[in-house]
Amino acid sequence: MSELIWSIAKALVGVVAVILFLSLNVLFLTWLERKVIARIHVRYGPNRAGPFGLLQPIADMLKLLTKEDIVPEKADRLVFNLAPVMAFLFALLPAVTIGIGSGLIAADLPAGVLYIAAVSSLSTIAVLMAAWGSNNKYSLLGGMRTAAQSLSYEIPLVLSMLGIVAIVGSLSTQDIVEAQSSAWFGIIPKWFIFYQPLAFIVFLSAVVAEMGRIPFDLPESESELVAGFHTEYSGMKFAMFMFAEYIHFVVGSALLVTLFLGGWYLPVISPLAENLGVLKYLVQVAIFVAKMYVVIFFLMWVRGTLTRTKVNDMLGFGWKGLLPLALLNVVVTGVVLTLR
Amino acid sequence: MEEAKQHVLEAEQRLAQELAGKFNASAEAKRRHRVEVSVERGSFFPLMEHLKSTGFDHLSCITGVDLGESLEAVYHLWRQGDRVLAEVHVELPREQPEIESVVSLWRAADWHERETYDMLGIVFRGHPDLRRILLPESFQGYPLRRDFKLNPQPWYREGKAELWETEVKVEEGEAGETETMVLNIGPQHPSTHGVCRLVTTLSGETVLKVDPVIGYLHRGIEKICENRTYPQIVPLTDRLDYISAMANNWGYALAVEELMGIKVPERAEYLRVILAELQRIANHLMFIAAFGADLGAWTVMMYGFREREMVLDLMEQVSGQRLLYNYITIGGLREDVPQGWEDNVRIFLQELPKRLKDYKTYFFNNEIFLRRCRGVGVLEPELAIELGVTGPMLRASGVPRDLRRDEPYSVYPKFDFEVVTEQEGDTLARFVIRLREIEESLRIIEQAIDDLPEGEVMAEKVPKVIRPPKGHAYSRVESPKGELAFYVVSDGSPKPYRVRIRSPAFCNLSAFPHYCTGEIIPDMIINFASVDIVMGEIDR
Repeated sequence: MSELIWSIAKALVGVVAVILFLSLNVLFLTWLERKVIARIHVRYGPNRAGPFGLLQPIADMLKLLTKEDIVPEKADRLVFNLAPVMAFLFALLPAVTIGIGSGLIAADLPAGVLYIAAVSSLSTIAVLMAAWGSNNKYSLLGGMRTAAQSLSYEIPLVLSMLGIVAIVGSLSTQDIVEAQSSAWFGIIPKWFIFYQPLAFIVFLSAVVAEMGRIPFDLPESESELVAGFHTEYSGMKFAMFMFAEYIHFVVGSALLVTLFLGGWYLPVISPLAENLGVLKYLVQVAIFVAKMYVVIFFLMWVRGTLTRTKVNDMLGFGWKGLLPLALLNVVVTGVVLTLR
Repeated sequence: MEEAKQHVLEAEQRLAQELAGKFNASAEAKRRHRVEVSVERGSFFPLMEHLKSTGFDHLSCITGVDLGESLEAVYHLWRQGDRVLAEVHVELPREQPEIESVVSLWRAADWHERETYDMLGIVFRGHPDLRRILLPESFQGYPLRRDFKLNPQPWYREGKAELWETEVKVEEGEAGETETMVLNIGPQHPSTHGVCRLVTTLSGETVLKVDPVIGYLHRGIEKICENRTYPQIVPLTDRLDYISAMANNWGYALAVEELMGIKVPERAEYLRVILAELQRIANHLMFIAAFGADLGAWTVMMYGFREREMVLDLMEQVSGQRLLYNYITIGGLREDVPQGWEDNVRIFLQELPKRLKDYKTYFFNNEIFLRRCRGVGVLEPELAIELGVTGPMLRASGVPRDLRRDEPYSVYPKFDFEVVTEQEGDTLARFVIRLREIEESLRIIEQAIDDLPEGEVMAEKVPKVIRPPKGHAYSRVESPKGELAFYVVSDGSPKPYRVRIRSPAFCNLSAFPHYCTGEIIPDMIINFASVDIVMGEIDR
């Protein structure tokens, strides 16, 4: 009995920690994104609320909280109201299997990677619900695009992770990071980006598509579909969609770090930190978060540089570009592993 | 020189005599490249057919004028061969103002005739879709008739506001068949560049039909002009195409100068050229910026604005304004440019090419951008001419027409510049042509600023109260968006009797529905963006 209570308590702590971690990052991220994009745009970005505009996310949140919550007259109310909650929840789901340090993980599922692949496509359902529930043509078009898009990137995404799983021989994200925790000559890390460069490219492209960011922000492409599936949402419901979107951003980047960039391991520093006792976890988290922000910055940079693709180009890229590459990667990895 | 001029005028007289003989019309060669014809209603259509078959392939404008006793329709036609502009006047009885539609000859006539019907109630028989264009269907009366009362009166029919009444009927599909969907893009939409509404019929994401609905920004500028004195109209022209106000000022000033026979001092002409070319650069930079925004590349938007800022600074130094300059005025310029302004222009001339190099690197090495634009919205040259498309959009289809060269006004013949064309006629070509035109404009400015003469900037004999003699003038300038023309009728009073504005974006937009069907929404959006519209000018 006490064991059950203990495990429930542990799970609760884990979930709360995950939500806290994500929320803090998302808040910071909204500020950072606006700042970074502004600098690329030769602007200043938010600089009024607090030092360097750091309080801007809080001001934004307050604003969205106090906004009127509008439900269109002809909307399907249940679906319309449920969609943002679902979007938010589904975005949280994959986060529990991402460890930010050795053992610092909400749920180290033995089928971790598989679980991520499974739940990450759930958010499409939330988007479709929003699209249908709004009873708006722009939303519907956006929703349809999301469905088409998720079909074309989901498969390469899963396939690109397969190579790593084959090398590690485990689906657990903890094991995957452990497998990368060493280095040649003590300085060149044995990260999977070096073993699986092709998979990295496929995964990066697919994960950008999953986040719905430029160049693949077709579901909500502003100049065409106004705001796509969340055109009709306002106030807190809109905020939840935005929140979900940024959670995708954080989780996607964290996943990229976990799978390809060695997670919390950094050569030279990590071995030194081993002897610090509890402090080593702090170092691990710091390394992980730092790497995550490098990826995030890179994706912001992409957003500041590229234009949006066309919807048919996006689908063509997924099916004719990413999928064969991912398959090729699986085959090559398999052959190499068998021969060794 | 004088001899050549005489010779050319002879050619025009020959044409006038030919028309007068064949169609029982009175025709005269008014001046170089200008033939004026007055024709009876009966022989109007054969005359137009004849003109069309003799090479007048460009329908510039259709104007309606209320003469009091009767109404008048005025057609402006142009052919590139000998560069003659034919002006056809037809008088129509007031009680039955009907005339044959010329849409079957020039498809460009479509919107012009709708507007003339809307404003003056002239009915064009045989027009495929004669309904109001700028005003809502429920509007009563014809505002540009002289007896239209501006006093408060019920302008609209009883009932609820019918601004949305222009609906497209949807054909219900059979069970199991795909149905089409009507999507109203606009009037509030991020990429309609103002308040334009595109009634789009979609099958999935494929566009089957587009029907632009305009008039949301209609301020009745043509009507206001009838109640203002000539100089008071200059600031109104600013508000037409508000991102290239200098060109509008100039177009209007030219028309009034023609009426009055004013010769503008040379320094003013040079400065006008410099300013107009600067304005062209600003307009095209704005176009690039907005185009970037429509592609989701907000960085491009900001860069475009940053570069345009340099032009705005120069404009502010001469006129004190950053957007609506009211600077080029009847007889010259409002005042001379400040000391040292030429040097600032030179600095700009050195700075901009560096920035343009960045643009080229950005766009032409960007596979996503190229894939989005190449082959999208191809406008064939023949169709473009027939639809009355002008300016960069026409030149992108490979038709080398540019009023600066073809009907040279001001001091343009003194400068060496190229009429840039692109052959493809797609969205990419329409984008590239703007970049190249910026470079040509830089060349013109460079030459003009080097030869800038000293002297006055205002003609001497411009009176305080401007009362042009009775008559009419049609002035055409190559505005950044195309052929901008003002048709000004004077009755000898200090206020114009009628001002008609031929806006390039209006005609270019009217062409848009004819070549964008079958595209998907993202293609249509950038295709639409490549038209470069400003609603202020379209709705007037």
